[in-house]
Amino acid sequence: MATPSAQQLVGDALAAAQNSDGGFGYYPGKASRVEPTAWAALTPQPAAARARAWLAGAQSTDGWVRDDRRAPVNYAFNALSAIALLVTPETRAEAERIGDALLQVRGVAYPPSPVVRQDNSLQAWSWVEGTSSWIEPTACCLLAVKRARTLGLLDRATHTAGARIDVAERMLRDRACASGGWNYGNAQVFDAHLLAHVPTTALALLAVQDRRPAPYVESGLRFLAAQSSVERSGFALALSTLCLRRYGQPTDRLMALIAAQLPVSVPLANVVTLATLSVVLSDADEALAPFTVAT
Amino acid sequence: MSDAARPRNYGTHGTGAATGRRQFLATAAGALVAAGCGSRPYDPRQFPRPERSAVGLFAADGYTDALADIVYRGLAELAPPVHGKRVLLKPNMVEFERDSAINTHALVVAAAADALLRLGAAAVIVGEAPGHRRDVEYLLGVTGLLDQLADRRLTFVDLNHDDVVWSPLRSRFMGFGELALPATLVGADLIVSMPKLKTHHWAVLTCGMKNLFGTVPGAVYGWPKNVLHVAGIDNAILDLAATIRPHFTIVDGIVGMEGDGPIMGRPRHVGVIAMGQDVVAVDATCARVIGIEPMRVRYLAEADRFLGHAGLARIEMRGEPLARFATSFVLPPSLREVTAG
Repeated sequence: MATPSAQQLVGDALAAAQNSDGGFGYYPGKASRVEPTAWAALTPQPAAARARAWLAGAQSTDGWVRDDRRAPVNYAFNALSAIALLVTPETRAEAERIGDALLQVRGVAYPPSPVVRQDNSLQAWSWVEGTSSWIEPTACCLLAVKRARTLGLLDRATHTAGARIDVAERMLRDRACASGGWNYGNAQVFDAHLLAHVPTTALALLAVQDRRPAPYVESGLRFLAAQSSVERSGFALALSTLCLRRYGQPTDRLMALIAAQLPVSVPLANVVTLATLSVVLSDADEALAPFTVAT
Repeated sequence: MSDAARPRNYGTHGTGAATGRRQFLATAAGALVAAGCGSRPYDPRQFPRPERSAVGLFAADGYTDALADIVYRGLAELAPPVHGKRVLLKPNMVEFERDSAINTHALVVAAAADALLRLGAAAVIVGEAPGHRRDVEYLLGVTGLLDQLADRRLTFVDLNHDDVVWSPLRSRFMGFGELALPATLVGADLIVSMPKLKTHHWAVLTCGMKNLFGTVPGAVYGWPKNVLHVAGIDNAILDLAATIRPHFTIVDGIVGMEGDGPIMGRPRHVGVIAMGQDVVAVDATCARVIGIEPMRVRYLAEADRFLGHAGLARIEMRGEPLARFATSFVLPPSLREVTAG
């Protein structure tokens, strides 16, 4: 586990970034936004409670959490908000409303293409309305729906949730890279195999943690175990650590790399990075609970 | 999913003329649709153009310390006044693969920052909104840009996650009235597009205009700015270039990318830095350098009608002659009809 000084360093940086309204911008001094606030709400930091309150306050009557009325609703960030609001019983009703809304939306389907040899009919989750399904929003939404069901929610929509989970898992299986793991989008274009990315792979693996030992899951896990020490950033290292712990894999080496990376990560002060670091630097047993789904 | 399965659409034609970028962005009611613009998706009166646009080609064999003087010479000869200005450098930093040529080289960015400060710029900020990787800490580190910024105490702004300003679009090829743009971009006195010279398997060429995709905030539109793809890549390139109107363009064509660009292609040495105020003219010149006929690139042909000059007769060449660098990049098979000759 990390030294208390590392936890303190990250916790202080996170606390300093919190806006007076309780929310967080992506960087200190920036306007409060949904995604960084959701990640901050998932930390074991004192700031998390007010962050959750900000998220609940930003929820519209249609269920969506928004930071800008003119911007399209972001499904991935709403999924993160749902996961964060599921942490405490007091905000689970808000989380379930997001879950209901997520079950009603999907990415656009396209006909088969010789350029991108994949199943374009699979409608998982897109970032925003009217666009294609991508790995990160699909992983976040899938994890949110599974987490809600783990807590006994979304039972009114059991059939719909089951169907959406099935499509999302098929999409992730279809888009898995030849190397194992996931690019942010396609696995190949013009017959060229695309690179798998560590953060998207970690998110996707969290979303399919209940599907071991499916080959595409095991392949992704091997990729992450091998590559997680190669992509040096606080965010990639923290997400990898979080994911590998959920899979019961050793993370001592990653924790050492995180300690070495902190002098870079903390001054850059990206709140999403600080929050993910805060989660994995925590000794608290419950720190990983929001990312756990029933198998 | 990719754009390949999507129908592309293109705007109608027109000619035309402009007001200042910042003035326009600050005018909420701006957009186009002015009386008399007919079916054209822009108001020609907003896009005045010079008779001819100057483009400089400067020889640079490699990524060395000599770049600072080369870029300084180009800026001194071709750039608008920079003294006292707050300048935003917008390199292309989208993905990373070792031994590839995906991104604007960190030493070119550093050279531009040094030259601008030497010319009296009040501040130089580097900003990018990567279209593939969201994790700028990783990209900054692995590309070497973080070290260059630290050496110069320069600020980097993560444009994907900046505060946004809703900005009316000066043209409507996409059919949108406005777009969220990073506050740092809108607040800059001078914007310098700093692309890598690459082929692009959907847009043919990615250079100064296409580089502006990397100003669109992913935190609003998602990655890889798929909203823009759905609206048509060429349309998006035109609307972004017409709205942002970079004041200057510096192209890293020392080692470009041919083949399956902008990510999976092969590095190709060209040995050139291209510069100029008219991004259309710079892009058209770079297209000619790598053997692409610019008028066969749809967004360049369209931009030539109102935004800048792509035709050779309207471009005044400075620096080295184009023939010194002229080559022929390998294109993906689907794009070979656009090659010159």
